[in-house]
This record gives sequence, C-alpha cells and structure tokens, in this order.
Amino acid sequence: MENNNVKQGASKQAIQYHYDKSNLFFKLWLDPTMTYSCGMWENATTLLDAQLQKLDFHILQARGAEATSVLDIGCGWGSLMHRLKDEYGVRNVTGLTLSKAQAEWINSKPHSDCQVLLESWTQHQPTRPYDSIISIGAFEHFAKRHLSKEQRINIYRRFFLNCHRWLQKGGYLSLQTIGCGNMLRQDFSQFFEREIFPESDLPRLGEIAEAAECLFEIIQVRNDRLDYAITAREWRKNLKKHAAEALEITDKATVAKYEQYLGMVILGFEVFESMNLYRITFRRINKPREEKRVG
Amino acid sequence: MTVKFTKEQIQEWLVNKIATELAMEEQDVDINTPFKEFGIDSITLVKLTSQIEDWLHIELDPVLMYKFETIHEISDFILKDQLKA
Ligand SMILES: C[S@@+](CC[C@H](N)C(=O)[O-])C[C@H]1O[C@@H](n2cnc3c(N)ncnc32)[C@H](O)[C@@H]1O
Repeated sequence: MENNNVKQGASKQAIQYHYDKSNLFFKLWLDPTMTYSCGMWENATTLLDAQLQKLDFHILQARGAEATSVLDIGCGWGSLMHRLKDEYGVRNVTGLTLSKAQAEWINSKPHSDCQVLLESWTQHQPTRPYDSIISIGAFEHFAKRHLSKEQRINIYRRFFLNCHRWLQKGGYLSLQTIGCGNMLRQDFSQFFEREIFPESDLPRLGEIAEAAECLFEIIQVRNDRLDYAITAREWRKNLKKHAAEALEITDKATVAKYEQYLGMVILGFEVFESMNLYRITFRRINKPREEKRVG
Repeated sequence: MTVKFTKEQIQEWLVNKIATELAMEEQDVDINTPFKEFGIDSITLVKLTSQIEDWLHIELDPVLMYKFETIHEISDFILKDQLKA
C-alpha cells in the first residue's frame, strides 16, 4: 500500500507534522479565509484582498466560473472551495488534503457541502471527470528530498497524467507552486527540511514543463516571486502581533521557529532570489501524441 | 509603548548577542565589520531580527540585516526608527 509513502512525495505523517499543528495557531496569523499560500498583490492592499484576488485568478485561469465540477488538489482549510461555491455557484467542488485537521475544519463549517477527501492525489479515483482542476501550494510536497531529477520528473509526470485523465476534454488546470530560483539543490535549507516541511522539495520550472509535455499545453507562466515576500511579511507581522496568544496554544520554541521560517521565506524570495513563485495555466491536450515514460 | 535606548546600548546588546551566537569574545566583534564576515548565517540574522523586535518593541524587517551590513549601520537605523516612533 502506498499509504505512508505517498509514492515518493511527502507522507501523510510529514504533512500532518506541519498542517496538523493546531488550526487555532494558523488562524492567528493567516488571513480570515485561512489561505496558506502566496497571495496576489497587484492591486491589493490587505492580506485578505491579496488572497481573494489570488483565488479569483486561479478560478479564472481554470475556467472555474463556468464549471459544474472543480477539483482542488491540496485544498488546505478550504478557502478556494468555499469561494467556488459561494461566489461562483459551482455545483460540485471536491478537495484533497492529507491533513486531518484541515478536513475536520472544512467539515465543521456550517452549510459546507464541499466534498473534502483525506487522500492523496496519487490515490484519488473520481467517478466522473472534472471541468477544472486547481492546485495551489501543494506541488511543493509531491516529491521527497534527495530524489534524482529523473525521479522527480516521473512523479510530476504522473501528476499530469492523472489530471489529464480526470479532466474533461479541453479542460484547464491552474497550478501555483514555489520553484527553485537562483539556488542549487545543495543550497536547500536544512532548517526547512528538518523543522518545517519534512519530505518536501521544490521543482524547477523546466521539470514541470517537461513533465507536462504532450499532455497539457502551457498557456501562461507567471513568476510572482515578490508577492511571496509581501505575503510572508504579513504572516510574520501577524504572528508577532499575536505572540502572546500563540504562546497559549503552543510553546515558545515553536513560535520562534515559525518566526524564523517566515523570515527566511522573506529573504529567500526577496534578497537571495533563491525561490520563484510560479502560476501556470495548462490546457488539456485532447489527443496526446505519446504516453511518455510513466505508465 | 516604545522603550527608548541609546545607540551605545543597542550596539552593546548586538555585540553581546552576536558574540554569544558565534561563541566569540565580545571584544572580537567589531561594530564596523559586515555581518557576513563574521560568518553569520541567514537563520541567525533572522533570529536576531526577532530578538531585537521583542527587546525594543519595534517592528524590524529581516531584509534590513542585509540592507545594513554592520552593527554600526543597523544600530543607527534602529535609533532613527525609535526616534520616529
Ligand atoms: C500550503 S497548503 C495550501 C493549501 C491551499 N491550497 C491554500 O492555498 O490555502 C498545502 C496543501 O497540500 C496538501 N497536500 C500535500 N501533499 C498532498 C498530496 N499528496 N495529495 C493531496 N494533498 C496534498 C496539504 O494537505 C495541504 O492541504
């Protein structure tokens, strides 16, 4: 069974180590929708605006407004799913997460008729195809550290093969992920690996593009690296502002660790340029030329 | 409320913290030597930023430790920032 070893990506345990820390802890420093990924700051002045604008961007890219069924791969605490339901009236919204705390959170919301599944994209077996697929800030967990480039591309290929299989003809996929920027693999921070996001690694843009070849046409690529510095700055400010409450929920070492992590994110995106923030729009190719490598 | 400290107090505090972090003698921590020459890594600078914020009750962005490269420069900045507050 692949349960613990989500086919070479972060295991359920590794995901829960981070995301199941405490819903209340994350609530202290995320925006009110609990979106836990880079916002879109172009015309936004608040964190909430930036997060909503980002959700709307992906919905637009994935043609989600016209969809009757949308899959959200790595749905977090459900902000995109709720936006799809409440603002766009999408009938069937399905979200996947490996975090039990997130699934419980979504299910505890009143009038929440989104379907959240506590399963990996590697295990998902929909009964009907989706009109659109969106995945925001989850791809970073799909490959473990210390795999070869080829192994990574194989996993990403499997992801695109699955999305291809699950999408309607001509359907769109909107993906947001952090990618390696001006960084060699050996530069990857031990601190992140050990303390913050175990069993996770970052893709390079070329690896994503190669993995999607002859399955998806790449319509648009954006790199909004500086958006992440602004987002992490807001999170860090919130965490510092609510430090006393955070200490009631968790211990001093954890709060300090999260402050460091968010500080490092700001530096990585803004000063070192070691990480990029990709927003990529894909259109499903209806008659793929070949089935490459992964069967 | 913002607590006011003198530039010398801020410098002394930073010298002490950096000496502790890097297991150096305080007299070897020169206030005009760029942080990176002491071999301080980014995590330590980020940690230091948080500690300064908590100590002085100010907001300090981690990128400032890269913009201002020495104890001297960052203390000058903090002092001006305190006076503004
Ligand atoms: C940083 S959060 C982003 C959540 C949400 N998309 C947002 O923007 O707020 C990453 C999410 O990816 C999920 N995830 C990680 N690996 C996964 C996998 N193999 N299958 C499904 N979800 C996964 C986590 O459970 C978590 O919900």
